[in-house]
Amino acid sequence: MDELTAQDAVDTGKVAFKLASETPLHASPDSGSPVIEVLAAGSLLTVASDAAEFLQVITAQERFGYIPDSTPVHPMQWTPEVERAASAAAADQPPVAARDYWANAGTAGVMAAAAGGQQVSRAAPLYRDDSFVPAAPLAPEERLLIYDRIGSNKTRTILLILAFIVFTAVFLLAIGVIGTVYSGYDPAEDPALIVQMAGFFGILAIGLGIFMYSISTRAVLGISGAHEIQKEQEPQLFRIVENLSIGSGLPMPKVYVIEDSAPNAFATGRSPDSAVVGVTRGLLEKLEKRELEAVMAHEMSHIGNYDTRIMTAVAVLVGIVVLAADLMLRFTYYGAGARPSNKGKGGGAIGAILLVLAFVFVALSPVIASAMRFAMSRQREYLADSSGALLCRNPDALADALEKIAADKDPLEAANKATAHLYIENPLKEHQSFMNNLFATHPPVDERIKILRAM
Amino acid sequence: MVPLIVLIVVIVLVVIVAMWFVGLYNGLVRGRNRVKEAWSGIDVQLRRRASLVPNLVETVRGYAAHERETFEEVTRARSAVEQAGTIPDAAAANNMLTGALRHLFAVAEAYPELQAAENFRQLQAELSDIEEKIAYARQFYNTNVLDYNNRLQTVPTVFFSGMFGFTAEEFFETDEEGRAEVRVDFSTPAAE
Repeated sequence: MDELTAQDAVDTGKVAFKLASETPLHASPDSGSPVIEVLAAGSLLTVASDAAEFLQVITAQERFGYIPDSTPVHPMQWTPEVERAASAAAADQPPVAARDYWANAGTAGVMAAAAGGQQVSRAAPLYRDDSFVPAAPLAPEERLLIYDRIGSNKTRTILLILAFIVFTAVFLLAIGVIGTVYSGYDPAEDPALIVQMAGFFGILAIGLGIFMYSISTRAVLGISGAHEIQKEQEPQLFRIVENLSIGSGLPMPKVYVIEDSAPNAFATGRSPDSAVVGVTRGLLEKLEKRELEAVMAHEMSHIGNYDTRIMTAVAVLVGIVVLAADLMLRFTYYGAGARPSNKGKGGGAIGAILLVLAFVFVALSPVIASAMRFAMSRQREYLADSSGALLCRNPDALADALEKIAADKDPLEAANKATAHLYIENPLKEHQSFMNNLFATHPPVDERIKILRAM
Repeated sequence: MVPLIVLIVVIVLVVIVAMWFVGLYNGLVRGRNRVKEAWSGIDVQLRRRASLVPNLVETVRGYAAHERETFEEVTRARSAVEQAGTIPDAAAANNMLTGALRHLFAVAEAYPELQAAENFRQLQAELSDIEEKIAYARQFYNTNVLDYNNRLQTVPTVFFSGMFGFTAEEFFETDEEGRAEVRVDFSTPAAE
């Protein structure tokens, strides 16, 4: 292969592409695995790529022997069957081999998709002639390996947390500005006083926050009416949780059940040691074992990723911001409204502008804080889907479970706006709209299912 | 003045490099300890399974006394599990026991009375539960080994890890037979 020039590669690639797009293949028991045929045509393409990729396709070829023989498959397409075969194969492997599978599946998929004229971003390096690349925008369902998804999700969560910290700092400073003005000083001349005020309110907020945080788990369990169960009462559920805690290396959480026919599940608790997972009676009745396992893997991932802690902390923080903004606006409106002019000092132009900005920010802050909280909540749901799929090795089971839960029209009586973020899927069954999406605790379920199916 | 600044800069650099090095070293120690801890998770389940074997053999013997070879095979595999010293040995012995149990359960299918016995069904359910737990413990162990080996074998740790006696850990592998067994023989739902 060393003798091939770039031009040879491009030419061969073009021939392979033409062959592939014109020749529909049908699988029959005699012709062996359809995927092998697909890849046989695809292997023409690999001539155009390098030897390493060729080897990977060969490996993928061997491993894809799983596909049902009678399924008609259009060549060069990354069909659901190929996908299922890949996930079935991967599900049986120890982690390292599974990762190889995904890598191989990814390569094979790229090959197949590229040859079929479908655009997949990773196909691009296969072609060295730009004019040959079928130019299409990146598909939203661009296939990512599970590991990549977990990585990019973590980055996004860190960015959100940073944004939250910046937001809180600005909020405290805005409160500081208002406080300064209403104590009769000009914020433009007294920046140190603003910081002192901000610090004072910050300490108050921390005290309140710690109190709310420390009672949160009990409050949640109390509100939702969940009761703890022992192994003898729900042996299957209990065993699944035991297995998953072995598989994830987390301590065994307490297991709770909510007596409600709407299928749903939740995880809470501030640390893995004091964690709680819970399911509704409806979930136990409506899901198969592998689906239940996938749902519990999602919940265990919330614990392992410290989502339960982060989301509790964020919920407390948002609660305080809403409370503080409300108090501040009422206080300045009804109470101390006349004070700045009394002392005749609040008057500087910069000070006035600062005051107006601070008021606008404080007035908007509950909305901003909530939107950020829900953005983070949605991010954590995607992350838990990915790592849950990795833990139970069965993304399809989780997708099936989500489909069942979403299709169930029964709203969960025990949930309300305050606890909705804890559940695996939005328990409130709201309609879709722009505002509801912005303030949704969960990503659209279709989107989650689509991503899981692509794994 | 200038030499002093240079000296300070050098000292700071040395301290940073030393701390970085300590971090790498401690990371390796942590990784190795995690692998050990994860191994004990598998070990517990392997021993639980091995300890059920005598009971199982006795139960089956009560209904199928003349299947001597099968019993011996299972008993041999069981003592291999208990004596295994290294991880590949344990994996091999575990695979052997899995195969032997598979054989035993296949033999048991010929005895309807045995199939109906409460004791036998409980043992079967318990073994299938342990089987799943071994699979999860293996997954956790292998993840930890992967993490540790990755750390060990990448730049820059690869340059000094050998010096301090860090060596790559072994994965706990099952063979084809073991996987088939999980599907075929333990698919009976737990009887509760």
